[in-house]
Amino acid sequence: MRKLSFPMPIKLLSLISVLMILAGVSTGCSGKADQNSPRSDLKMAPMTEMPSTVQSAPASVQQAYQFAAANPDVMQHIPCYCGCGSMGHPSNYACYVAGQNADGTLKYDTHALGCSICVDITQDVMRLLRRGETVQDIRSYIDQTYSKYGPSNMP
Amino acid sequence: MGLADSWAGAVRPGGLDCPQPIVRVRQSVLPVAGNLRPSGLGLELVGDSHCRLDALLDKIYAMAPSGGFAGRVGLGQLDSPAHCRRAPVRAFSHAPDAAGDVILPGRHSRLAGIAVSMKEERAARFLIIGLVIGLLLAVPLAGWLVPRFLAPKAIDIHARVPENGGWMPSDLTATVGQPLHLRLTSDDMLHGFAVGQSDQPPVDVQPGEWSEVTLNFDHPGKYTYFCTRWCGPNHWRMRGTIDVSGPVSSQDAQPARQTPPLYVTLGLDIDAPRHAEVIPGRKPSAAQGAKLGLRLPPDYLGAGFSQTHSPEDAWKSLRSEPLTEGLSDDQVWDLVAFIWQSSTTPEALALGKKLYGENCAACHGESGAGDGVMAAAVKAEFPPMDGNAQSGPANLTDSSRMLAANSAVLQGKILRGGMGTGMPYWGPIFTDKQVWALVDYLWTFQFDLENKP
Repeated sequence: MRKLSFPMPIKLLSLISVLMILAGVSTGCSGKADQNSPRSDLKMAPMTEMPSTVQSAPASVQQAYQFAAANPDVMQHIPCYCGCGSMGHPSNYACYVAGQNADGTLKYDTHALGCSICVDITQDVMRLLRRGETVQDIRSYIDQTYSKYGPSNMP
Repeated sequence: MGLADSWAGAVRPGGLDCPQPIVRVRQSVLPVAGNLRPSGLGLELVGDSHCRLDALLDKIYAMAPSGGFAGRVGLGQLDSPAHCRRAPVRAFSHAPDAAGDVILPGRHSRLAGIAVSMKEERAARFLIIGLVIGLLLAVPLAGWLVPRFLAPKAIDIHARVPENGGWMPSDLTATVGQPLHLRLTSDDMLHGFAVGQSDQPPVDVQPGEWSEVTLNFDHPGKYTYFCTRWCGPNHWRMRGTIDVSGPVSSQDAQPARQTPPLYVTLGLDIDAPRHAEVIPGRKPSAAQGAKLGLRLPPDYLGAGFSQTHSPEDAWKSLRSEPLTEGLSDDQVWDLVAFIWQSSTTPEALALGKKLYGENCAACHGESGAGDGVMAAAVKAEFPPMDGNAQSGPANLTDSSRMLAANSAVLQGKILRGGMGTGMPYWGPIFTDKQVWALVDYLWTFQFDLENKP
């Protein structure tokens, strides 16, 4: 005897098709991914070591101080274009850290608290490091981006 | 051929133009619950259900000696098949005793012949109906789904005052030629969203509401989005970046910003304190300067002069010119105002005024006196820098300070910001045209430039 059962497969096929379309709609719309990954993936100095003025600063400024303090090996190779070369800053790092105290702790500079270029440069460094860029490439990016606004403080 | 005995009450030949008969099948022969009636291409149960139909077919298969049941059902008269030629059941286009047909004889002289169908025809009918419905639904469904499938999902952005995070997220990526859809809401107070150096009009970002904006980029590069509402003393910190990748898609090349900026090329220290030695006794008027009717040397006229010379330089130079002999010092200042007016246009001044009111007045004040609504907070937060006696937003009405500067200095201040003073850099926000329009407008705090003679 022939097994005749078209209607049910047709219905099942229709149901599966609809489900596949819906699944495609829900999973296919990936769009532009948010690139704002967690900050914890970078080495950051504890906020408790920061001056009170930094601790009460906007979040982007706090992050810049934390990153700069914890990454002198990177930040000392990054220029600043805010004009601070005239103040003796040799790099973007100097906008955050003025030196070391006698006990070995860092002496912070409040300059970056009121400097948007300083903080934006540091935020760029953080973002590009997360993407895996080298320090050399990051410096090239900083030079290209910020030389439109001022002089570099690095030769 | 299989035969089944049935009783067909009030059976008449089926036809498109006559009432369809109902055939009640003898239960002992065909264990079918309910009646049969012709329908479309075959026979259906009154109060049909698939399980019952299956039972019927199974029985008919069992009755067919050849086992080759053709799968058609029809009603009609065995003795007069032609009478049923127009019946909707095609079984009777031929004699119903064909091999594979099943005949259910009725009580009357007419017979109710059931020879056929069912599932193939029914399946085909389902298929056709399904396809037709599918096609009908496909067009609107595709119109609804395709754009959503192809369009990238919108990115949700939350706005908070900078002390609580600012824009979240603050880093976005985009591709040239592909729209970037954003949905914005505020978690605390009214903010505004705009993208620097873009024609995109600002969008208000309200608490509890979602605003949508679609951005399109013609050029790769780094773009800055910023808050356009004065949301607090750190309002200027509320910025985010969009890294746009891809080739240039527009035929119009984006005008490249001068690198380095003019003040760097000129070797100017824009942070050095400036004090003019000569100050006018009243606000100089370009209209009064024009009324003097003097023919100034061409070197004084044009935008280039004010970019490289301070008003004080211009006054001193004019004062030494023979053509100003007999003029008062203030009249010479009127000539300076006339020169500064010649370097701009009413349109540029109007643009500069608009930009100043939207972006600068919060700190520098509507009058330029450095007394904007945020001035006190900025002054408290950022102490004076070395070499600057005054802290807080610059007083743009201070003639001593302003008349010793030139337009390149002011442009540099706007582009680069105040180097630790809390004055943000506006380079990524304003176009060159906007920056120069702002510079032109700043001179209106020193000169009356807007009244033509």
